[in-house]
Amino acid sequence: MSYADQTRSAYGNVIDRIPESIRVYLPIVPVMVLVGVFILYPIAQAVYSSFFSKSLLSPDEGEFVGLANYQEIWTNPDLHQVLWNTFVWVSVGSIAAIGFGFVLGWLLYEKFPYTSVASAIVLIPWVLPRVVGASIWQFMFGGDQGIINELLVQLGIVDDYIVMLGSGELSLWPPIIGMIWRLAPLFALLTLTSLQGIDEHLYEAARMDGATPWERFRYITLPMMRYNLAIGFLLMLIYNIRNFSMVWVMTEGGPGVSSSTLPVMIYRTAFVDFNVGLASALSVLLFVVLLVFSYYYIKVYDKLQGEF
Amino acid sequence: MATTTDPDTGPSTDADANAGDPTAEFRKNQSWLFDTTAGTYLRKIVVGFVSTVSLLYLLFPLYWMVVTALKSTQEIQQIPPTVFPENPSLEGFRLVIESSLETGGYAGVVENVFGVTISSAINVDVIGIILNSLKVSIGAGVIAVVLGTIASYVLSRREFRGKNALMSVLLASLMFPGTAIMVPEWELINTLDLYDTHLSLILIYGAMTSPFVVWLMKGFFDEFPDSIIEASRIDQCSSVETFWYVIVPMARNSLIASFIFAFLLAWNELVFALTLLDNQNYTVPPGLLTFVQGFNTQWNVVAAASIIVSLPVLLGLAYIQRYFVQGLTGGAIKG
Amino acid sequence: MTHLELDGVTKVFGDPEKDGVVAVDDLHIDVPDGDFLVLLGPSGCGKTTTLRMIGGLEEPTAGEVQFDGTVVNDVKARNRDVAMVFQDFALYPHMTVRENLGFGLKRENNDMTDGEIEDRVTEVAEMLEIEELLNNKPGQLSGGQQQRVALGRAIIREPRLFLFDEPLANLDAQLRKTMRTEIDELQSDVGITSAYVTHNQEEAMTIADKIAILNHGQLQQLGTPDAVFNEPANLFVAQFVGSPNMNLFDGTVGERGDAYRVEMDAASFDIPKRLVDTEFATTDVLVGFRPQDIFQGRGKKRGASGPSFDAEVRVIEPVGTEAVVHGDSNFGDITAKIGGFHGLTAGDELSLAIAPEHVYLFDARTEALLKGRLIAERADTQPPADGVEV
Repeated sequence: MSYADQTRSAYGNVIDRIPESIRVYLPIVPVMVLVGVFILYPIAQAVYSSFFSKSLLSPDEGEFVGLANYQEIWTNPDLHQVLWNTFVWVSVGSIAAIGFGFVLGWLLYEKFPYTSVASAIVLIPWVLPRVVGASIWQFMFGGDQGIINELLVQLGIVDDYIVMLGSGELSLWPPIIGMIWRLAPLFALLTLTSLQGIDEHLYEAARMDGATPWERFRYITLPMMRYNLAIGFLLMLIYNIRNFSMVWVMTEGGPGVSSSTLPVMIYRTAFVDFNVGLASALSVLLFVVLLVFSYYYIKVYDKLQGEF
Repeated sequence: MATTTDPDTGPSTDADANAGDPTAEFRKNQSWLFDTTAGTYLRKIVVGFVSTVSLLYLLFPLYWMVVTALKSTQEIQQIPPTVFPENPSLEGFRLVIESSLETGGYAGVVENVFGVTISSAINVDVIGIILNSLKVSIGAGVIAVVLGTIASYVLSRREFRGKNALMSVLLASLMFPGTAIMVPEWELINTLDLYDTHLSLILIYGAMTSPFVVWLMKGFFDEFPDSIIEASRIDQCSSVETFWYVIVPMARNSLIASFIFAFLLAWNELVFALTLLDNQNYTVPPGLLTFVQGFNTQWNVVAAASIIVSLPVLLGLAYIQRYFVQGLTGGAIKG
Repeated sequence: MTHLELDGVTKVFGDPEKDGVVAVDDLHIDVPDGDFLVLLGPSGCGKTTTLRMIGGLEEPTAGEVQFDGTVVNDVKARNRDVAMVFQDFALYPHMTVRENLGFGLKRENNDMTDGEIEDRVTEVAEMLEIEELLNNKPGQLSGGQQQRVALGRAIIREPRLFLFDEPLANLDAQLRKTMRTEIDELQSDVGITSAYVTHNQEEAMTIADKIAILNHGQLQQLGTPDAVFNEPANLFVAQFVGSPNMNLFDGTVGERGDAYRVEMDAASFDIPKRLVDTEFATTDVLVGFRPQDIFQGRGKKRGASGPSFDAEVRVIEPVGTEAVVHGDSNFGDITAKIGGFHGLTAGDELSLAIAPEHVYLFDARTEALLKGRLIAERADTQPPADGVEV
């Protein structure tokens, strides 16, 4: 027994008697128990429940129905609409947030003074409580006193105030616009951080090598940022696909399912229609997509750590 | 070599070209966009336009929230809406506080002490939901920081089997928030008989944020110099003493940042709060949602309540800005 | 081939009207075609800023930068046809060595085909002996290899000027010496005018054709390595150049026949007038001598009339065949570099002396040089009839 071990024995012989190879894991146990019980176990539970037909009102009395819930997803046109909405949400929302966020991040880096204050202000939409941000947009898109209607009238795009949130054709878009507003600041901050991480000397070396500003961007900035951008892209996908509050606050997924995305549909199926089995099957679907995104996230992450 | 060849005129007229304009030889590598006046103006116009539109999109909703909160109930209903409030008024804030006092059951007390009678049509206790949220957020923050830090120390300092897999599971669990697991979580909480308790949220939020803390603090410990730990060993500290007396004080800023991260997540989370609580125990997000849904003709009151519940978040943001990117990406991107 | 001229170049960071910081102050430097100029000075003296103004990375607040008589102040860095080697090399980490080398060639509108660029890359890589590294990325290279790539990236374009910003500072001592020689040879071979920034006086002395010594943004002296060593313009230059540091003592000076009489606290000696070019306008002087010029023994016995003194050895730092000895003399602390130190221990008494040719005198008030070091024999024989000056 080493001297250090002897002094440590004051903290308990019980711990000391555990072999070192197991003792290492002890500090990790509490976190893993917490995560295991409240995050990992529910995932397994969702998979299990998805094979049952059961009501939220009596969750213990499920009936095994095999793949019937998945069949429902396959055949129900409402759910097709939801999946299509989700696809539009994720693709349009992510691409727009990335484009807008990148421009914003570049402006922060290149054009704005007091970068840290400016970036704190830019971040406000992201950190604001979700419900607050969503309700502002709900108000702005409103049909009676909405400022956006007024703006459209002033610009001559529409003649009179129109109903947007309550319209089956339009209701998908206002939450997307709100979501871009919330996510773009996050991407802007990622962009800013990546830009700041690029050694100033590389740009100077490129200037000496005769590269124009565009060429410096094309050949230095973009390649240097590629993994960070990939991380940001995956984050946008993940945040978009798992979003609930923006849609729920603004439209509750309606009218009908016209603005419902997967998470909103899960909520409605489980807590409005009480159909736990179908909601679980939808959860598994969402879970699989998130797993794919996470897999790539971890892959890019490992790449990043190994870079340079 | 630095030839003076001009691609347009050819080498034979070199001397003439140089005689005419001695700086001509420095012009051979120019671009229209960056070296001509027209190009410069075009760039300025495009950048200016893009900046303006971006900033409007980003900041106008925030401005609109503040302005709306400062309008009177009467002005709110004007069509078209006023961009600048004509008669700035704190009516919205007054109504929020009055309704809180009444719903919270303090109306009688106020009447006795101040002689003011409160009768509010709105029955959401904003102060109450803030207190609930504080309880849940602080609880979750403490759990996440304590458990996460202990785990991260070992994950950073020691090598053992399954470490990478563990880190990956934690990183992946960051990506799986409420919406994917709200149904089984509801079942679980009912099984545990924790439905409609704040403890359920504290535990769930703790579980959701401790991976954040693990990643953030692991980043800190990874960069923590070994020599300081060795010095403390030479000074005869045990591992626990080293951790407590040497590392924790140095980690103070990272710990506070971790706590604020966990706090903010708990403060903002809607799905679990909505599905696992009943009205009277609501935290800020579902509480505000009922407020929005119930009183969406009184937007000045909604906006005032929004501002009040946003303040803790904005204060937190100011502190953790430096750690933001690291925290959000699990340390993938270093600032 | 470029004749570089700095004409009154000034750089102020911040607002010149208010509390701007003057980084470079009215600099006049002329570098003839093919010369190797070293900008030397302590950190913060403005040497790097000067280099960056030559390269176009900073814009002068006032004054002109001229290439072959053409003012290039308004020419952007990318159009100046100048190459620069950075302290941290600044290699593009995401590109292979081949791409790093070819990057500049591809940017120039010089009608080179990809094949020609490839040939040129190979040629330069062979010259620098890095041809087997062409497909590696900078992160896989050692410091010395990165340095070579950085040099290659500069050479390959055959620019008007080479600029070096402390290119050796990130290398270990051994590598620094070999690379120093290589840079020197390379520059002589290609004959391209170069400006080189360093704070290391030894590096400057070995590599430069001309050294410009800067302090607080002001040019202290522009001269050959010999000149700045032997004839430092002022006390700052004298202290900055040469290692170990010069010994300095207060003294007064007066005329006595055909010699100047230098009185110091603990000793006095004569300097023959023929060794001095300037008129002394002051009596208060600083007396300096370099540790290398101190020799063991009684000065008078050896026919010279320089100062001599006894010192008690405090510390001995052997450096090969010689040793740097720190001692307490009746003048105060003294540092000497002497041979024959074996057998010496701390506490021993030493008799030390300096030849009058080697004594430096500075005006105590202006710190300007009054008498420099003359290259003369320190031997026992008579000093040369006329003090040979280099």
